[in-house]
Amino acid sequence: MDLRLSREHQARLDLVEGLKVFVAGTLMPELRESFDEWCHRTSPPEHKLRDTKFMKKRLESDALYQSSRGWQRLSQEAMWREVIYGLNQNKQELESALSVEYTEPGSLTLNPEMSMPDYYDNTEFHLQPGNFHKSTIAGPIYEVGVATYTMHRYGKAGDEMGRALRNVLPDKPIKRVLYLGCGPAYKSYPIMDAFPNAEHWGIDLAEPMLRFARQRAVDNGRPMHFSQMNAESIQFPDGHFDLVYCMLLLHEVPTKAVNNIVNEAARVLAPGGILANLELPSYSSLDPLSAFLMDWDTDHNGEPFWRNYHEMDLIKSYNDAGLEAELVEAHSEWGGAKGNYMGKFQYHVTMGVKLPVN
Amino acid sequence: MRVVLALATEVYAMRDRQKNLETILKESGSDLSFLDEKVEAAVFDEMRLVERDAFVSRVFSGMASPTKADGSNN
Repeated sequence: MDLRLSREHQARLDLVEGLKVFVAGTLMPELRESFDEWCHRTSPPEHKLRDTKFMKKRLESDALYQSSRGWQRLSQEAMWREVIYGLNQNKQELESALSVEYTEPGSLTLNPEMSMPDYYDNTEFHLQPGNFHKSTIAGPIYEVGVATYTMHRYGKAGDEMGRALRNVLPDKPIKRVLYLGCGPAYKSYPIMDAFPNAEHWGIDLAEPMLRFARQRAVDNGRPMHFSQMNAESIQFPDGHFDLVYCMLLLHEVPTKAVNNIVNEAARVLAPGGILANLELPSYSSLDPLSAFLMDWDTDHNGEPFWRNYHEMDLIKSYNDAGLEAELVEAHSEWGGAKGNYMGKFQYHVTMGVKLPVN
Repeated sequence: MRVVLALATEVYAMRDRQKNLETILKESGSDLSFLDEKVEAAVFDEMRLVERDAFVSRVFSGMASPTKADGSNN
């Protein structure tokens, strides 16, 4: 499936990405410099720098903070507008490709009775118009948009996160793998490469995403099985999988849903099986300015559950679900890239092992 | 708002003239299919990437620290 835009439409999107790069690579380092200079001059205590109200009061009167946040928001809105405008030029062609039914490799099972949780139906994650389920071409829109949003730092294949996760997974026999909230599923290809003889499943709420994931998997010769399911209610038997994983899923759901998903993941894991959740680093592991800037997304970038996720005790959730858990760092190429406003960072993987039942 | 309207008028007039130029070129036998080709993002094309970043810097650098005489702004 060709997701490239015409010269004119790509030029429009390139300009928006250029602005994002400028904000991240020029404005944010300047903001950091002036903030660090202020900290050096006034020596505010660490606990104040971790207090959102204190930081808001300090920064919201700062012209550079105001303009960088304004451009951040405007560039995100402009990005989706140009992506949708560009892809709509080929909408019929894309819809035709997405409606083709394949018998192999892998499979696709949709559930016409699927009802969307309110928190999902009423949110436009990352400000994507129509979210992941209200446009027939939501999958292509997501892939092209996210590549621009992340300034292409996930690499041409978009699988940087999957490679990071693969590199920290234990080396053990894996027969069956489940990817929660798989979306277009291209991040899973490194995991499929690591366990080529396993049966791989991907589940998601959104039909458009699953249709796109299937098309992509077929195009890439990936024998993945896709099923429309809610990760809070996984329609597989107890002990069915050896590895369950998710990437940037849990911060997109309310705390209650996080606990439901962890409990369900633990249920479908076999004894000794692994639950691996990859996320951006916790607020507490970042410097105060980076943590505050990351938190901005909660209120202004379509990430309404982000703050709650970062404030919850996920290790406790794992333990409560019968999983022995630890936090593992996974190397991020993006996290080491220039112009990254959070400074160098690693991904955080909450790794849990299902304890045998006595 | 007057500035935005003035800019929008200028851009629209430029686009209209460009379209007319393209029509003249097509009618005189030029192949303009290159203009409508599908392309990858500028990040994968060194020349377009350099041009894009230079344009963005010229237009938006007013938000950053003032440019010095040698062209740097550090």
